Amino acid sequence: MSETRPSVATDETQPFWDGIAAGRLMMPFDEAANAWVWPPAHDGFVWKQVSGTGRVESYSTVHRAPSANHARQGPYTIAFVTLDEGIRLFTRIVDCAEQNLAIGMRVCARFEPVDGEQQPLAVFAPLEPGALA
Amino acid sequence: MSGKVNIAGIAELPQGKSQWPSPMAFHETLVKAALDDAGSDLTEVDVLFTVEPRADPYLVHAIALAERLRIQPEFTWSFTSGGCVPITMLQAAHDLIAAGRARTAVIVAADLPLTSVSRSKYVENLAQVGPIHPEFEAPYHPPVPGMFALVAQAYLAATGQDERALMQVALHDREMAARHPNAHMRAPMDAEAYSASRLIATPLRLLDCAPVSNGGGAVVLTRDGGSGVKVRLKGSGSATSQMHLTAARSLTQFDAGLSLQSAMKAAGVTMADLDLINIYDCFTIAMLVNLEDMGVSPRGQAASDFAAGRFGPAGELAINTHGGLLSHGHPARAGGMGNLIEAIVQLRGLAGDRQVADCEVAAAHGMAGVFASHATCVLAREEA
Repeated sequence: MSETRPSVATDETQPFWDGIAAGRLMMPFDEAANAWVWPPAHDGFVWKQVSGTGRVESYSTVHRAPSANHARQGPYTIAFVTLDEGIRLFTRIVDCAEQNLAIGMRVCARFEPVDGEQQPLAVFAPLEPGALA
Repeated sequence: MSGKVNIAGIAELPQGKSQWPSPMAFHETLVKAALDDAGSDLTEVDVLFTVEPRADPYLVHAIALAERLRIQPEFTWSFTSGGCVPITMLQAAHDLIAAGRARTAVIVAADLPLTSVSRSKYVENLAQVGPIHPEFEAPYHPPVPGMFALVAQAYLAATGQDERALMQVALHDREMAARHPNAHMRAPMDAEAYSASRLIATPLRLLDCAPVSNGGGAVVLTRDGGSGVKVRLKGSGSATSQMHLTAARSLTQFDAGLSLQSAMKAAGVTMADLDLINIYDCFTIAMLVNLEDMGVSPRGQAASDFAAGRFGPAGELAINTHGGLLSHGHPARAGGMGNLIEAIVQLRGLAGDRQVADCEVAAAHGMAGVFASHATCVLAREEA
C-alpha cells in the first residue's frame, strides 16, 4: 500500500490516500465533537466519505512555479475549496478557463495526478458545463 | 517590565546583492559593529542569539558563531520563529538582562540567500521547506507567493477592491526606501511600473512580492549605565494561529491585532501613543491584512489611507519608513530585522529625511509563515 501514497504520508493518513487511489474523498471526523477535523489533528477520529462537491473559496493562477520542472507545465490554478460538509481543502482547479474562475463557483472532485506525475490527488473541476474551456 | 535594559547598539549594512566571502564573515562584521555602536566589546557578551540562516546550516548556528568570534557566552542559542524571530530574540535577551542573569546581549538576524545558492534554488527550497503543508498542500506545487495570492484574491473580493489596493502598499514602501541608504530596492516605482510587472500568482505581481535579499542586522542590549538617550523595550506580545492556511479559521482575517494588543498592554500604551509602526510585509497583501487586523485602518480602507498619505513620515501614523520588506529587503530567515532596526533608528532621531518628528514610541511587528503567528514589540525613547 505504501506505493499509493506520497512519501510524506504516514500510517495515520493511509486511509485518506487509500481513498484517493480508489476515487473517494475520505475525511477525518471526530464523533465526540461531531465535527470534521482538517488537517488531521489529535487521534480519536474516524474516516468518513464526503460528497466531493463544494464551492471555490479562493483561487490563484500560478504563472511562476516554484521550480523549473513545474514551469514547463504552463500556468495552473491552485485553490481552496470549501466542501459542502464545511471542510476547507487545498487543491487545483482543472478544466476551467481562467476567465471563468470565480469565488463561489460550484466544483466537484476528480482523482488524477498533476503535472505529469504518478501520484493521484483530489483535484476539482467546475460543475456547470458552461465553465469548461 | 523593567526599565533597566537599554537597546544600546545596532548594526545594519546595505541590503540586497551585497557580496560577502561567507555568511560567517557577514555575521562577525555585524556583531562587532553593533558592539562598537553600543560602546561595548566581545569580552562583555554573555548572551548571543541568532536565527539560523538558510545560507549556513550548523547544528547550533549561534554556537558556531561564538566559535568564530572565539567567545563562550553563557546563553548561546539559535531561534526558530519565522519572521517573528527578531522580536522573539529581543524579548528573550531583554528578559535575561532584566532578571539579572546577564549583562550584554547580541542578537543577530542575517542571511545571504543570494550568495550561497542560486536565487532560483532558494525559491524552490522555500516552497519545499516553507509554510506549505507537506502532505496536503505541497503535492499541488504551490509557490509561497501562491498562498499569499489566495489570501489576496479572497480579501479583494470580500472588500470590493481590485489590485490597485495592493499597488498602494508597493508604492508607499518604494517611496520610503528611496530615502534609505541601505534599502535593496530604491528605483522609483509608479503605477505604470507596478502594472507592467509580471504576474507571479494572480492577483500578485512581482512588485507585490518582497525581493530575495542578502541582509539583516544586529542589535545589542545592555544593563543600563550612564546618561543620555535610552531606547527601551516597553513591552512585547505574540499571537499564534495555525501553521498552514488549510487550518486557518478565515482566509482574510488573522491575528496581528492580538499581538499588537498584547504588546501595547504590556507596554502600557494605546494606538494613539504610537508615532511609528513597522509592519511585516513580505507581500503587499500582508501589509493590508495585518494593518487592518491591527485596527490601524478600518476593514477595506488601508489602501485608501495609504493613498491619502496617512502613513508617511509626516502623516498621522508613520508606517515602514525604511521601505518594509517589500523595498528595504527580505533577507530570508532574517526578514523582519529591518523593521526592528528602523524603529530604533527613528527613536534615536537618526533617520535623516525619513525622520518622524518627535518619535517617542515605535512598534515593530514580525510574522511567521502565511499569517501563522505574529510578534510585536513596543519601544520607547527615554532621556536617562
